[in-house]
Amino acid sequence: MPDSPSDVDPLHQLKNQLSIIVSFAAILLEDLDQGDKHREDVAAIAKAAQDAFALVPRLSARTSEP
Amino acid sequence: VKTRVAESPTVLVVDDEAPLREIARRILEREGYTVLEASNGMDAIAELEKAPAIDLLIADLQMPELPGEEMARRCRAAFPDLKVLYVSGVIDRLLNERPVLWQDEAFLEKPFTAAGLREAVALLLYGRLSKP
Repeated sequence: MPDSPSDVDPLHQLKNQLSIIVSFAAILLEDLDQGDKHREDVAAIAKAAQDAFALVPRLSARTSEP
Repeated sequence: VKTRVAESPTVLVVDDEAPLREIARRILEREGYTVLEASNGMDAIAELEKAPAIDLLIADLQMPELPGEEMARRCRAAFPDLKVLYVSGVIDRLLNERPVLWQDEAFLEKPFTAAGLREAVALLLYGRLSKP
């Protein structure tokens, strides 16, 4: 039986979802021309998702504290 | 001994998250790779048996049912020339279980960029940072 979503580690799920945002934003950035007015917006999305990703280990350490 | 790589190498992307497979597909197809997908380890093994000309396996480490490293171990036992790129946000787990990667194996940390994936794949297949 496949694992149900509730069986999957939520931190792993969170990392996967953030990875999707970061990677799609990176693809989009490659496609946009240097002068495109949306570049800064997409870069901000990518940076926010990367920063959130970097927080996950700290979140993990907190949830495993007794 | 270097194994020969096809002109348009075939890459099998194994991840339980469809959007992550889609990201890898988009990045690699632009480079001229042929990309196949599987959503779990058992499907990946079945895919390899159907299409044994696969050059590279991209394996998510954390998947339900069959973990990526066990899937890769089974695939390489059957297809010793297969190259493997492990992809995960948890490098510690791989390093705990496999402190030394085998030849023709590499690790790419999530979240990866398009350039990061292209370089990792080219390094494994061609021993250089870009596709010739």
